Amino acid sequence: VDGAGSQTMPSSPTQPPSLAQHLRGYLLKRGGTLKAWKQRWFVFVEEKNALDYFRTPRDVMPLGQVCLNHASFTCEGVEPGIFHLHTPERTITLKVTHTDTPRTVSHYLCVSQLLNATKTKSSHSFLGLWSCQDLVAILQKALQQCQSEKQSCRLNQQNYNQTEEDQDLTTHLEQTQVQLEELKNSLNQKDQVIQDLKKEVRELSEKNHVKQQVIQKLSSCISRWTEQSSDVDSQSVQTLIKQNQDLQDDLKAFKNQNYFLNSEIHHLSGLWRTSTEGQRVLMNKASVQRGQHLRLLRELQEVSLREGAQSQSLRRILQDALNQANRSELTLHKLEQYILQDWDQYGFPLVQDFEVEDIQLLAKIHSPDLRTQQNQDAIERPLVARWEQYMSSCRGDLSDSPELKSLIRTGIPPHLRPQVWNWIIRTRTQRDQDPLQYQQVLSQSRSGPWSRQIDLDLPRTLCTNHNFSSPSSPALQQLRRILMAFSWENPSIGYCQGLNRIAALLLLVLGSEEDTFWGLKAVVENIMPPDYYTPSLVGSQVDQLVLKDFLSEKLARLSSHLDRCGVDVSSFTFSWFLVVFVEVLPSHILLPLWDAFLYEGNKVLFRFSLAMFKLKEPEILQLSTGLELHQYFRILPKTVLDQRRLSAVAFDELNPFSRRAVRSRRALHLERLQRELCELQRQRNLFLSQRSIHKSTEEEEGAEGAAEEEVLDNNSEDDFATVSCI
Amino acid sequence: MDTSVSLIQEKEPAIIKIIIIGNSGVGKSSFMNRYVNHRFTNLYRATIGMDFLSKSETLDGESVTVQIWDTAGTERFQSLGSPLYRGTHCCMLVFDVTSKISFSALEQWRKEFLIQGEPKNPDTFPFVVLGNKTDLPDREVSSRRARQWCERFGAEYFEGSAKDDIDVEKTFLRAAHMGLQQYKKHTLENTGHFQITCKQPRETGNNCQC
Repeated sequence: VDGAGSQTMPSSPTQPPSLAQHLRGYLLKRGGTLKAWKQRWFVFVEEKNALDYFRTPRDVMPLGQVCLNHASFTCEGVEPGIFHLHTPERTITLKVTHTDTPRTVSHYLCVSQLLNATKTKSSHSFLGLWSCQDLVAILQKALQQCQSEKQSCRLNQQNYNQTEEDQDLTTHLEQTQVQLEELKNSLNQKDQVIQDLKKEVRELSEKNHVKQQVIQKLSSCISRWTEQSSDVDSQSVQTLIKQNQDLQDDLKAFKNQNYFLNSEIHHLSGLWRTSTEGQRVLMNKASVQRGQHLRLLRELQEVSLREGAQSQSLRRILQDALNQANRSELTLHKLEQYILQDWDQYGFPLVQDFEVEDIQLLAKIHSPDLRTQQNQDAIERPLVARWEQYMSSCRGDLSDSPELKSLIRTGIPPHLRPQVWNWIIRTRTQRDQDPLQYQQVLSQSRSGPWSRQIDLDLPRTLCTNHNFSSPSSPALQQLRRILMAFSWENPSIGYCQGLNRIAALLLLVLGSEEDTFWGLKAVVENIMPPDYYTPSLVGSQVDQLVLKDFLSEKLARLSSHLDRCGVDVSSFTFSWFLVVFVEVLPSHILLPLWDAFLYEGNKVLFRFSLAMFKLKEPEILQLSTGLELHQYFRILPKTVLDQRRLSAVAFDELNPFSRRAVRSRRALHLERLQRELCELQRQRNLFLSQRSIHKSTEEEEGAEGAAEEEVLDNNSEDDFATVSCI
Repeated sequence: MDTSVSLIQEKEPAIIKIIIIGNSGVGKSSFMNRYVNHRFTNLYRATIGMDFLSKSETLDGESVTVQIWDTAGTERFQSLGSPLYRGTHCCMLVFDVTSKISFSALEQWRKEFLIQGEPKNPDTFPFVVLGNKTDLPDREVSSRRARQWCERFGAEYFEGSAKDDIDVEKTFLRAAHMGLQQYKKHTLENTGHFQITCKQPRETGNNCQC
């Protein structure tokens, strides 16, 4: 058919070909009865205005003829290429064999033109029409091409659009992939978090479980206890009621008794008052009579002397009577003193004073009554006898011995104390070989840099002691001379607060100014470790650290209790050591302590401090706040009353207590403390240098400020300037 | 498992630590005793090392315990200062109005406190300056001069007499007040003021075997 199509197309519109030549070609014709498509060669015959169709183009005889006069032409839209020719006789259905759509259309057009030709029947116009038709065919071809181009363009565009969309989609895909990654990550994290949380939940549930167990245990305990108590209650309620009744009866009886005893006391005190009154009257009478008696005796003596040698025996009798009278007067005098005084033989008060708050605190911790153990003889009679025996056996020539040591630990009887102390001081200071003369020192030390502080402290020394309480008492002037002499003789120490108390106690016992001076030298230079009273007080501070070591070693529970409450015992014990307990402990404990201190040395201070803590441990453990503990430690030494118990603890229960242990600890702490002091001094210097820079920039402050600085410098005769690191 | 954890929240009154420093013999111990025990006597012994007294007070409706640390006035005892000075909430510098020397020494005392006490706020730390013994006739330091000196570092100035009980209470109350401010500023924020204590359950003593 293609060949036919291409043959029918004119190459040039200028020479119109014969119409019959162009209008020929294959078409499919549907058969009448079978309706089957048959290929036929159709030829337009112009003369007859009809279509002849043959089996093949080479056939001479047509198979049939379709007259186109009055024929009409319709085209079916359902199937492309199919059209119908309607003649008055019949309808022929034809189909363009080729499937190519534009060509089919051209064929339609050809056929339609053919039909037009059949209508017009004019060959001439038909020719013009054919040229036009050629043009149309060309145009149609162009149109077809255009349409195909357009279609391909559309296809291209579609492709292009698709690629663009593809790109968009890929970028979108990438983005979504990134998002996916992120989401995955966050999911992982969340998973982890969830796991952690699960773990926590598990732990918590375990804890909860444990706690529930505890609660169960506790509640079972409680229930048991309550059961027990209820059991006990039901059983013992009746007995308790009975006991209560008994106790109430007892109480009533005691009340009655108390009432009776009070009235008795009242009555007795009345009697005592009248009897003392009578006693005083009698004593007055007795003294008057004694005077008369003495006078009489003396007169008798004179008379007997005047009357010459009468009997020898009478004279002796008279002499004896006189001596006796004198002695009895002396003892009576002493007795009177004892009755009337509240002080012991050294002038210390016998009763300790407490503030109301302190008494409340002591009551709270059930400290034993302060007045019950008061009048205890410091030294028992058999001990005095032992002392006398010892002194007579060595005929006053004492020497170091274990026996003397144990005797001294029991306390020296007051009448032997000056002698023993002087012997100890003498052996410690080698006083007899020392060319130093007290009087000489004294004359050179009339004034000195320390006089201001000494004068300031004198009226504040042993102010509760009878012998020091009055500003005009001679002991104060003696004390002043001793301290001045000592500060002159020891320029590295000068005067340190606390030495006043030590010297005052020595003076009270020894009585002599010179002995006291040597006693002070013995304590400071011989008994105490070095640098105990020098401006840095290193020795004293080291001892406090050593004491704390011993406290945690020997009284661990107490020590940790104090640590917990934030109490530093050295705030108190520092001064105990520095003043050797003078004005800290009551005198009946202080003096035996001093006996041992002078003989055995500084270690005794540790022994007694620790013994005090040990004795008072139950009381201390009852106090749980820093405030109360501070309050208690202030008065603690004053509440120690049982001398024998204290020295038993100090010398026996705290053992072992080796001198070497003290020494090694001291060395250890000394090194550390000296480092710290150097650091402090460095800081001080740094601070001062910073200040001086600051000051120099503020020079315009004026004359007043400068004057102040000057005064300050003069003032630093005291320790500020002299603190140095060793 | 017999420990129970309990939280104690601020029920205990705050403890305000006030330290008293100044030259020997200016009346530090007397002033403290007058405030706490309402008493004056000439029989005070010289303080060795340190001494303590405490008193409960109510400041602005808040009950506090004022703990007063009395110190020895001779410089020799300064080397003991660090543990004494640390944790102080207010520092009271005392001088004797009849002694110029004791007044001039305050500068040195203040330095010493700042060196050894190491307060966190040395520039704003509360100082109270007190001139004692105004009952005595021969005065050497005028209140104008004392006030001028105090202005230099923002201290508050008071003067009075422990012997005649003049302005003792007032001075201490002001110091306690300043101390409380310092306490709130520098103690509470650092510690959070929570205490966790472990208590052994006490033996319930009702097991009557009598």
